[in-house]
Amino acid sequence: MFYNSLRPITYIFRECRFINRRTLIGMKFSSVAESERDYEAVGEKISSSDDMVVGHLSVGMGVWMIPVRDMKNPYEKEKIKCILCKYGIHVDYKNIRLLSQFVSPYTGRIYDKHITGLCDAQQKKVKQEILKAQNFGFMPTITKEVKFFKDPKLFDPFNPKRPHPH
Amino acid sequence: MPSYELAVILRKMSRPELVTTLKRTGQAIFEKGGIIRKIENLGTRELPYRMRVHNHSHTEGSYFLFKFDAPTNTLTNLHDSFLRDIDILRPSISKVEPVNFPEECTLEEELQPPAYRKSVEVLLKQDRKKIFKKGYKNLSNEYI
Repeated sequence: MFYNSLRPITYIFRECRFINRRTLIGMKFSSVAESERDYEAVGEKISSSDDMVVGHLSVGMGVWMIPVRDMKNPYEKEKIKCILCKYGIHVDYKNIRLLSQFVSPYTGRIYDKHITGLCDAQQKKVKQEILKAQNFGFMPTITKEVKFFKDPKLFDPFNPKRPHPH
Repeated sequence: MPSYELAVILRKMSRPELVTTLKRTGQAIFEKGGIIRKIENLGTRELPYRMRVHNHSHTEGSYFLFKFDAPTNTLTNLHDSFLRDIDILRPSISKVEPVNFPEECTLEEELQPPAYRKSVEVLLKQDRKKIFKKGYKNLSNEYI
């Protein structure tokens, strides 16, 4: 145990943060800590060529000195999801109220994906289910039903999010 | 036997008449060797558009849902028998699909510029292959 070498703790810590996977492999490992994974678990020392202790590990002492390599990137942004995927809504031909939200009240046509903001698979599914509902006699073909006119709007058709796909 | 859904629209009738027609449709499924799992009443309401069936135009109908399992080769016969029934306006059989769809949302990938999309990458590779083949053929013709 090299307790005296713990003096420049901040410096060591700074060093540890910038250690790459490659440099770790290149270093001399003691006989006990052979693999990289054992590096954190077993209390051993690893010395660099400058004879300075880079990471001095023991169970009782500060494990916080060790860089955590398996940690996820904490600054990673959340994935963008469409409305149907986000809330896990199952699109069905019997649910006319949901389907009619994707139909224009002016023309009775289905809005395209650049307006609805759905992912490719869900847009295809919505299109299929609307056509199904119309053929099965659940939904009108030419217009949107008047009783659904005041439903909350999921998107603004006059300000599409993406450029026109065609 | 895969599971199917029969969404049926019946003409506007009195209650006992409705019961007899529903029994008839159910028995038709049983005769073909099917099993009924569930019957749902979706209510009577105005039709979304006027339907003209068996030389009568209808503006109102009562909606019912049969969830059933049946062998695949009997479906066309079943549908045919329903079409011949006078009380049924529109029988429609559809396959029951899995609820978890899709597994992952691909919206983020689609929003990226075309150079970063996987679908565009595939297209580019296809084109390159074609070009390579053409070039190879031309060369061989020239030099031999």
